[in-house]
Amino acid sequence: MKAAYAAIISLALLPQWGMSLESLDESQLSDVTGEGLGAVIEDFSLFTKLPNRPETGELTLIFNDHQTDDTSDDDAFILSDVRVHRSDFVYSDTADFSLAGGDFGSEQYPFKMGDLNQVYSILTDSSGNPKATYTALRTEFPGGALKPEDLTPDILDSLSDKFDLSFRIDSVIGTRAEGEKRRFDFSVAIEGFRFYGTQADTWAIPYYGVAMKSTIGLLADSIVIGGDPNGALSGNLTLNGVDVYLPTGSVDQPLIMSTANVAGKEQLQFEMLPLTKEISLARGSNIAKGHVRIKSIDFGDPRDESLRTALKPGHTPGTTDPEAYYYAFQPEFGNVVEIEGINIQHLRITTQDI
Amino acid sequence: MNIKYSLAPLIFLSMTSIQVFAELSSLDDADMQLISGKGIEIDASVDFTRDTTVSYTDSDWGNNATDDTYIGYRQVIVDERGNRLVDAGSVNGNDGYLNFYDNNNPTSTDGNVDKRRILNGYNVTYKAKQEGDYLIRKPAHIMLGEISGGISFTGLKLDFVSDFGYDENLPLTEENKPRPAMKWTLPDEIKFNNFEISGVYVSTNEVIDRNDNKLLGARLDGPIYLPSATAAYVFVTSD
Repeated sequence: MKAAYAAIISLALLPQWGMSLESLDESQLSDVTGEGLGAVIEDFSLFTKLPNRPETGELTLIFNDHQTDDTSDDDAFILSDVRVHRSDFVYSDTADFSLAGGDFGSEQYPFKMGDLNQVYSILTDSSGNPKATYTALRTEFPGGALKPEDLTPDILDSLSDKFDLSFRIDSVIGTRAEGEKRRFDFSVAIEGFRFYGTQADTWAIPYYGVAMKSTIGLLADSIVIGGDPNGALSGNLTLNGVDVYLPTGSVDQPLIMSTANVAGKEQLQFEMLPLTKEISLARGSNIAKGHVRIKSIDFGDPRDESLRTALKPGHTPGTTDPEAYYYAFQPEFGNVVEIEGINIQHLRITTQDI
Repeated sequence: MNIKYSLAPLIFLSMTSIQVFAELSSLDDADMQLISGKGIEIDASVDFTRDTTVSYTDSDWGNNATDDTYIGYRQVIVDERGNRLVDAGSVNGNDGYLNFYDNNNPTSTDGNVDKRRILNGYNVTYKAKQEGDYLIRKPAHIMLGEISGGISFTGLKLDFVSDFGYDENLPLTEENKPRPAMKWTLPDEIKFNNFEISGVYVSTNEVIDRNDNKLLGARLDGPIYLPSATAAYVFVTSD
């Protein structure tokens, strides 16, 4: 039966795919750069809970099942009340959810999949040619090739609508009070976000197998981490005006996935190979650098009296008007966090038993 | 794995795509308008049922689990010329060399390649070597094991449209012209019935057993709602 499905599915895919791919040799590959599948998503919204719908969905991540068949003693994180919708849509019991969707991508800046590209080492051999050339599969979000300096308000608008994403996380870990099944940990809301410059190249290299380089670019009006189950303002940590751009890996320092035996146990390991003197010399100052910028940070209520730093000019001392004061971590101009020129030289992530 | 949905939609899908392809090659843009809007609708209920009941109390747990649905990944180490290499040099495979793979002589140390010379390919040695530092060891299998539960939806629609990306209020240009695309309209609800990948394992062989390192499991239960008639247009890009 499985064979029959496989045959039917491949038959279904063959006519569209076969013609465009089979006639290419290696030298022609460089000519097809940019050809692949594109996708544009219109009116996208996603919820695990809707008003007047009794059923709700949730995702459980199980970290330890204690080697028993009983799922009730599993140590787990539970993601629920997931909402993804266009930023100006307001979730309420009376909202019209058919209007919650927003667009991801446009014809000019679509999602791209299966786009074959040549990627080159910056190291050269004795005749001056790249030391290694690989054919990589590129996957990118709308505007994946854009750099921070390319962005204009018009371009941003053609990448995607602004979206909101929120969810809550509960945990079921260790021994719990009688009758308590879950404990609310925190909620996360990313408001008014858009991706740019987000793409990944995947290829294979000798000795290591699958190799990858990627860039993530994210602009968000705010990221709110809520510690109060009822959503009280005092429980929030809010990062406003977030701009993150992080290139990770290169052809010479790709990110690889492997396994490592640590203390007698096999563990999963991700590593961005180290920067060597040779690579460092070859690339000079011509490297993709990342940044993290945050305009302001609110600890709890942004107008918390204990965060006042000074009275603004022209106001009477002792005034109760909250807008008459300056607040810590909320500069009038510029950013409160600005990390520029981020360049990862070596990164290794290994799973561990705790 | 037991797939419960009917074969008919798949056969229909396969035939549709052949016919559509045959027609596409002979149609010009104007004629394309005529077939625009024709498509198919797919309803599915997929059930991943365990072939055997996996139980921690079962003494033969490992073998049972292997019968089940899993997806596996393992690094295969090759050199620049594509020769397969293994770490076979000593009892624990940690003599500092990689060797050419020889199925007939698994402990052969032919073709010793100094690990330090190829580590990262760029003669890198770590400052303070710790256990687990060498990436090139005997690669283990990363396996998504014990997939179970169900997924169902109704009303996934596939249409072929010919006017994607065309704004008829603007003049016809190279940029502004109708293009063919596949339009997928997503169902407004996808139901998960305890859909579970009960473990991401790292295993030294292709058999999951209770001694293997289980990193994480995931379970999806209940509905995901897509209430705003989400549509995805898929097309061929060219730069």
